[in-house]
Amino acid sequence: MIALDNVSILKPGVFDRDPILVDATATFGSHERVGILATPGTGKSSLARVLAGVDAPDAGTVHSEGRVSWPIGFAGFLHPKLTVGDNLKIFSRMTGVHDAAVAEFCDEFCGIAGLGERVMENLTPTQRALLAYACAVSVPGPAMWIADEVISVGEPQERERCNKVLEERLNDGGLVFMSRNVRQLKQYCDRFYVVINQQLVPCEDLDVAKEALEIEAKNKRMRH
Amino acid sequence: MAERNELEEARIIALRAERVRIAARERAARLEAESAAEEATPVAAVASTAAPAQAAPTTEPASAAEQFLSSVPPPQTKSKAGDGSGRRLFKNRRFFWMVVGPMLLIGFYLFAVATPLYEARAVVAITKPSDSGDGASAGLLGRLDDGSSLQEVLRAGTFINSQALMDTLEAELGLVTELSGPAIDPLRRLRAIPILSRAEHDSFDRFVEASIDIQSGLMTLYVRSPSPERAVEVSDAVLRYAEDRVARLSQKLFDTRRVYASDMRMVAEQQVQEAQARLVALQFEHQEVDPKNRIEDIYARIRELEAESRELNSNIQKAEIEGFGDSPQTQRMVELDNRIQEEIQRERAQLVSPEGTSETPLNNLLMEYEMALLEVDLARQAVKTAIEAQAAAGREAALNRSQLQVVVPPSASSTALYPKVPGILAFCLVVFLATYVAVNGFVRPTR
Repeated sequence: MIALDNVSILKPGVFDRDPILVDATATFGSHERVGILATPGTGKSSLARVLAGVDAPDAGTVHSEGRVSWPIGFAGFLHPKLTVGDNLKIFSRMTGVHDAAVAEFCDEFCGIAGLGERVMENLTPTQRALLAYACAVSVPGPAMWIADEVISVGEPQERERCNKVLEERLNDGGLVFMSRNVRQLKQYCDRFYVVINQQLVPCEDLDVAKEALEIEAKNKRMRH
Repeated sequence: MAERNELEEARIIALRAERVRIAARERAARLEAESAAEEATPVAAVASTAAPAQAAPTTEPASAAEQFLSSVPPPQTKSKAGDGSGRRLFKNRRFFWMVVGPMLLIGFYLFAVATPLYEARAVVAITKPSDSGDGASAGLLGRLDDGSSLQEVLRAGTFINSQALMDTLEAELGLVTELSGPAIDPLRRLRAIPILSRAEHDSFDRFVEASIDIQSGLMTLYVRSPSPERAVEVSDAVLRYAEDRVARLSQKLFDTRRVYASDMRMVAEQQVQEAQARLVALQFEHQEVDPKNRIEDIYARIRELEAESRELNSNIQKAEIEGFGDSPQTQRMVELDNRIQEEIQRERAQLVSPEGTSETPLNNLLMEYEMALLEVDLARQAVKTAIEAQAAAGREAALNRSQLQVVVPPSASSTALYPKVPGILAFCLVVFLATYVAVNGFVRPTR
């Protein structure tokens, strides 16, 4: 379970940091599948990092019970100059799990020969995305799974593999999925929020919320 | 070939022009559609920026999306963002406590509390008369090569930074009492802080400080005081004490060397006396001033006897050959030769066996004499060396004594140099801002 209590997130900087999210209060249950609709640049990744505990909010508090997963598909931690093995060791230390288990899962999931010895920058973008995905889902549940726009990666057969693993993980845990894709949100989630006007607002109908976002974007263009 | 390329380029240009025309047509259509939509829903734009309770009157029923949008408060602007959550106020308060407040305090201290200090500077060098003819030293290495003056300067610097000088200045000028009293502001005042294990002397270098340029060997003396006259007065006193100290150290060193050279000379002279006494005692004991002469006489006597014996033998052999070997004359020559041989044996025995007044053989006596003479010679050589060393020590004491020379006499500017307000303020501002940025960047509320 993750509970946000008056959480505010600001854009990076020192002075006059613009708010991304203001006074967000919400509770995501342990077995809920919550979708958050947000347009690009409205703070999905920042919110994902805060939910995952990678970052702390600028104001307010985030309470979590149980394990919260690494953001699914978040590849920012993979250093291009290090080998995959070294990156996996760093990931293991950050998440507090055994590196051998992570490496074994990633080997099996990615199916790339000699994965551990390969340097990150020599992997293709798809392979990197697949590896980041594998890292996030390498630790079995129960947990709250955080997905930032990416819920599956790769070619169709790899996407099937991702969906299969994710379904297994979600059998014993909840999901908070942030995306701008209404179809995917409806596919994976059964309760929805929308990030609009820097607010995290619950909504019943994603199509209405999407239309509201479009109107708001149009208004914003006119104001500018 | 060239013609085909030109045709190909013309075709590409035509395609691009066609693409631009299509894009312009589509854009115009899109703008037209958008303006039509805005005319159809004039409320949406207003509703999104107005408060829900104050929604503008609509000409048509709002759609579900518009209603949803109007139910959400408008986005907070930069200035309002903090007011809503109180976070910006909190940040401003943090900025005040971490930057503005401390800067105000420091500014108040610098302008209203801090005692203006005047600084008197003097440059001194310590030289020796023997250094004067060396010419210029070649840079740092040349100075390091000739480290005697530098050592003297370092000694003088150590003395100036010492408790001994502080006590002396207190005894003569009452300087410590003055610097630890109300004449100096409370922060810079000279005081002992037992809880920090700091004595008054640990802060004394705020007021009297010496720095040494290791390359030039010059020492700069800084004296800071609430008045320029007082600073110059204290500088003069410090230089006087430092000069006295340098002279005393130098004098003590040369005194030690001279005393040592004198002692060495006395010891050497004593050794000469003792060796001479042993030689005289030997002469008395054996009644011989110089046994070498007696031995030479003995060898000369032996040589003469042997020559005489050889001549007698020659005559005897001649007589025997001529058939007069049994004559009385020949028999007397034989007897004479035998006596000469006995005399030679007796003379030889004197050299290797005791006889007469001495129980020591003459050869042994000669060795003892030679040893005694050698001792006397060595002792005389030692005396000569000691006398030379004593003279050299005396010469160095007279010519090579260190002297403290004041290159630049103490002088103080008419403007107070301390506290350095702009520098301190700039430094503090940088530190406080850096701390503030670090706190804002790294210390965030924990979950």
